[in-house]
Amino acid sequence: MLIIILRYIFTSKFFSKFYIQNLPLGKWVKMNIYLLARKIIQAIVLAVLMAVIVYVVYRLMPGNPAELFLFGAKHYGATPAQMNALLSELGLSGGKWNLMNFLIYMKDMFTFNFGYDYIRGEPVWEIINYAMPYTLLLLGTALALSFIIGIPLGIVTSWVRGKKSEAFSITISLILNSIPFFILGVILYIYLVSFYHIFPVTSGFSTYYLYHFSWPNFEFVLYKMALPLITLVVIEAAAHVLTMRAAMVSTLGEDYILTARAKGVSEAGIMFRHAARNAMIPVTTRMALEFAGLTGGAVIVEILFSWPGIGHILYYATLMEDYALSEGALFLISLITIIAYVLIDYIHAWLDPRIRV
Amino acid sequence: MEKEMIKLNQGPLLEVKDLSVEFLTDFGNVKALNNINLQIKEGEFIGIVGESGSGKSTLAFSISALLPPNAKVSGYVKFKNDIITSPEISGFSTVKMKRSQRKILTSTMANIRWKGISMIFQGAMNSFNPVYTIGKQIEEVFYIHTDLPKEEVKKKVVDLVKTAHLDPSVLKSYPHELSGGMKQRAIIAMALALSPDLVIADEPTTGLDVISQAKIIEELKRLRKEGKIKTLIIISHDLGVVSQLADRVLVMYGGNIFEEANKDEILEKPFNPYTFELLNSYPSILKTDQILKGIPGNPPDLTKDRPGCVFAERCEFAQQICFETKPKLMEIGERKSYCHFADTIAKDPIKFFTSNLTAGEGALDLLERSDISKNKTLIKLENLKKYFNLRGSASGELFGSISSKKFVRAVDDITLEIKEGEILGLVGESGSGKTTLGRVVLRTLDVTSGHLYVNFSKDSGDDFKDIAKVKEKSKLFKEYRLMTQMIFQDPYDSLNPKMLISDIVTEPVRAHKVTKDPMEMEEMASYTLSLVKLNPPERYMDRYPHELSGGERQRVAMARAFILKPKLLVADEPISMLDVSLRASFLNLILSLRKEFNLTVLYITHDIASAKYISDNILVIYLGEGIEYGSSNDLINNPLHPYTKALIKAIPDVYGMKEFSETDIIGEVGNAIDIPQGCRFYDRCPYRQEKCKNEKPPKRGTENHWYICHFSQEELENIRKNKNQK
Amino acid sequence: MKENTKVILRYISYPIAILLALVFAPLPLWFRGIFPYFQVMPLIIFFSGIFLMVIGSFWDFGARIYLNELMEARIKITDENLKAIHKKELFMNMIYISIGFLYFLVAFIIYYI
Repeated sequence: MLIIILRYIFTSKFFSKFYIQNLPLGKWVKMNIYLLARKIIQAIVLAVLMAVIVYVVYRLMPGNPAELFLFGAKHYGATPAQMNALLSELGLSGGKWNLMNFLIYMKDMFTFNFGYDYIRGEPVWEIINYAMPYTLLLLGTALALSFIIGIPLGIVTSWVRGKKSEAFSITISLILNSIPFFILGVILYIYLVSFYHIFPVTSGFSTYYLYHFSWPNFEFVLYKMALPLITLVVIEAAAHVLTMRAAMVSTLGEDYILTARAKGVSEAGIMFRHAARNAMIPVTTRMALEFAGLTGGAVIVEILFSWPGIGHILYYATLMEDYALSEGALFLISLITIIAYVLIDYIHAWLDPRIRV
Repeated sequence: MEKEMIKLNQGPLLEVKDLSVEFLTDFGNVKALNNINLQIKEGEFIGIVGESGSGKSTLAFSISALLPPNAKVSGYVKFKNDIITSPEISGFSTVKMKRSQRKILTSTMANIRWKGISMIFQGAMNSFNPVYTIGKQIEEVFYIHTDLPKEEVKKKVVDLVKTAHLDPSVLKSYPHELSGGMKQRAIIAMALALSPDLVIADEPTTGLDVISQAKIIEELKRLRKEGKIKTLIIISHDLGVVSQLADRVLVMYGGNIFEEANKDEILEKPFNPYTFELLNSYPSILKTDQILKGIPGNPPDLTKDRPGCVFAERCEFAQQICFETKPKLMEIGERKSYCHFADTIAKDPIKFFTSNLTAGEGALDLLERSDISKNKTLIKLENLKKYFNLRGSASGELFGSISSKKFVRAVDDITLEIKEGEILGLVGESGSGKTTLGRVVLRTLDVTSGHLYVNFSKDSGDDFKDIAKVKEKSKLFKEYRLMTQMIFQDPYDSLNPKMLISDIVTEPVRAHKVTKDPMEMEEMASYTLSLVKLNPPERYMDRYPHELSGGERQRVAMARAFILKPKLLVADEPISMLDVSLRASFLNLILSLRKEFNLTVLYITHDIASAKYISDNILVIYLGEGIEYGSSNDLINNPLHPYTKALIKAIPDVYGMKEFSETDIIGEVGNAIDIPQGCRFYDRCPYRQEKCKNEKPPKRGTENHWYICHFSQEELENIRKNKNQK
Repeated sequence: MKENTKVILRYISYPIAILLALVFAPLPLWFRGIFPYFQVMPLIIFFSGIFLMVIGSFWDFGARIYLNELMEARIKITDENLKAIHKKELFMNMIYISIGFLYFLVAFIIYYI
């Protein structure tokens, strides 16, 4: 599945249009084909490892859903044959640490066949399928917005070096970046929802508004997702401001900036063409890390604002010992993260010609 | 004639009038430039010489209008008819400028930058943006300043690169793929892109090895001949480089121009005490045995206000008046000198400089070389080898398409004898393995094979023991450790910033557990500090390294090395980080310690001139192999190996010009992994023949001056003649 | 080429040795009856196989160190060289991954005994 996704990404019309066909391949694809193959293999193996970790973590947790189930079944007078059938249906007949159970688990994981929800009996895939667009919407928008806001702000902050506005910007960014997601979320909630009633109490809305695009629908979605989005973007953008500024300041001290200035390159040219491209290199290395933080933050924010995404599901499923659902949700979140890592790696190699090993 | 007349009427190309620059920092205002007046006519090559902190770079930045925002300016710089630096438009005042004003300023500047004034920076460092190709960065100049279409720009760039003797393929490579010399050529090509009226070269050869440096100087000379460079300002700390290129030389110190005169005049008859003393600090391969005096004291603290001359604290000729009033830049004919006594000096320089000499006579016998050949031998190296395993050697076999070899041959087969009380110079380019040899001799690195015999006898007899394979915990090894010490290149890195000077100096005492008595240790420390001329020692004992200047730090390092009175001292480029004026006195310190304590010194350097000044014998190393050995005078005056010949020819010397041609040596330093099968110098030798490729060359010459080559001097001469005929 | 195979064999020998240790080391415990060998070991060996695959696909087999040393020694490295190195790395990755499958096989054998 992952291969299909990756292959789809790399061979899609969008990608090939911009990167492979119109431009000489060697110029844009900085990784050669073997390195690319290695990276893809690494991503697949990482996904397998993630599945194993999910398996181990869930089996190490105290409590046993079978006991829970069977308690109810015994109560209503189930026969031993029925109980055994139930156990094998749950994939627990051979004990928690059975190889065959593990293999069945792996097969189900990678075919996205997560089974049925223990509580409501719905197929897990459907529940996740319903929640996925919400999470992707929130995560993607937050990521893009935090970049669009944070990187230029970082550049501007480095530009006004030594002035009051720089100190102001750094202080604000530092404070915002050190607030945890849940604190900022709660503060925003208390003031903007409880006291002033600007934003809605819950953020849930029907997927209808996502799939049928129109201007009022868009406005409605924006209104609903404003608070979780602001919480995520503010903190992430602050982090980007800080890293970008630090990288820019050290880049602006380099000799080639002086050369560029002597060449008569305009200030904007120096900032964006010469300095920003170099400063982006350390920022992208941190980007992978920050993406993981953002995913974690998204889970918390979803719970806080009752955003009907995967994080929300994951949280309640784990509390209810709903193995099937929470395993599926966790696995999918980690898959998204792995795919993001691969893409970031690619961007990094494209930005920096020196990194080719 | 007429044309010249017109030129004269046009006035100067560049005029610097009463320029003063102050930098506002947290530690006070640094007065980087004071009242600089300067006029440059078209076609002139001006050299600016100064040590660190002399303000030479600040002057370059003001001329190219690149002063940072914390600079406070008075006076102005005028280029042709435009004022490019003045209190209103540069430095501090730009911060508060309105946007519209700044726009006008940048548009006028854009016209002057690169079109009028272009700069050659240190290309060996990172003057090129690492993420763009060289070609793109040169093209950028055309896109900013001209409206030429793309194809034409590309054509022009290729032409440019060819004029700088580079292959057009470099245009497609990234900066990290080029060597220092190639990058420097590319920088020159970029600077000449718009055929500017004025080119400023700021330390254009610093960081390059001697041979690349000579090639760059040749290049600049050639470009002048071809008329590609019209006017040049060359800035350097190295008087040798400047004297090779400039017609007129400015000597700067502490933000003032101390002397301005034609090159020959300034070298022959300096009219200023600073110039005189600076010239006396340069070791030169052409000067006969003559003591270098150096300049005592430390570089000036420019944040302080002083009523008198900046140089007065260090000047040997200073009188009361020098400390009380500032001198004026006096004009004596065509020349200018910044001194109270300029008139007196101008009348009879020799009389002034000899009669007023106050110190230094006592040291004059330092260079008297006693005959060391009678001394007993202290250390004998026999076929000493040090190979570094490539750490990825297993992977090397796996990925072996690049290099099939598994070792770095850092030191390969060196046989040598060092007498007691001898100073042996190890000369080589970077990567030649000279530092490794020093460390192997100290046994801080293990020996791969060969013998290292050390004479342990306390009296005149011989007691050789091979310590090449002795274990580190053995008694013999500990004894050897007591006998040896080392000084490092960087005085800023080699001293622990968190330790007091007295603790740093007594560190070996504690390490070797010579004594535990703190009083005794303190006594030893103060005695050693006074030996290295840090007087009075009490002033230094309770300070931290960051409170000392570079020269003082290196002396502290010397004191640390010398506190246990070692027999052998390995000095690894001890002066390369010091200012020129401080170098000579440090070399003299080594000489005086040698004289007093019969110290043996292994002096490792890439600078042949200083090696010649200090050492009795010199060994030239190329890729881990000693290729020529001889007494220093012999080796410099009569080099035998082609490499030594090229190396000596490549030194830009203050006294005298030598024509260095590309044919003297080919390419750049090779690597010590894939060495040629036969002669190690084969790839770069202009005399190479078929037999050099596969046969190891034999040792030739006498016991006291040998070299490794297939050919005798006559044969080499014949090869050269044949080549010239073709 | 011979040296090359030797090195590859050496790299192969480490995981094989670990596999043998994994298979045989717990056996004495099982004979004593204090370790449910056939219930637990298959999964442990299977997990080890996956872990080996992770290591094998992320490890560069010393290529980075090797390249750095060559660069320090001023040897020119062309794009072709880099490509060859990546190819070799990929090859080694595939070898480790196939050894991972060998682990799986052993796990199955133990499971079905």
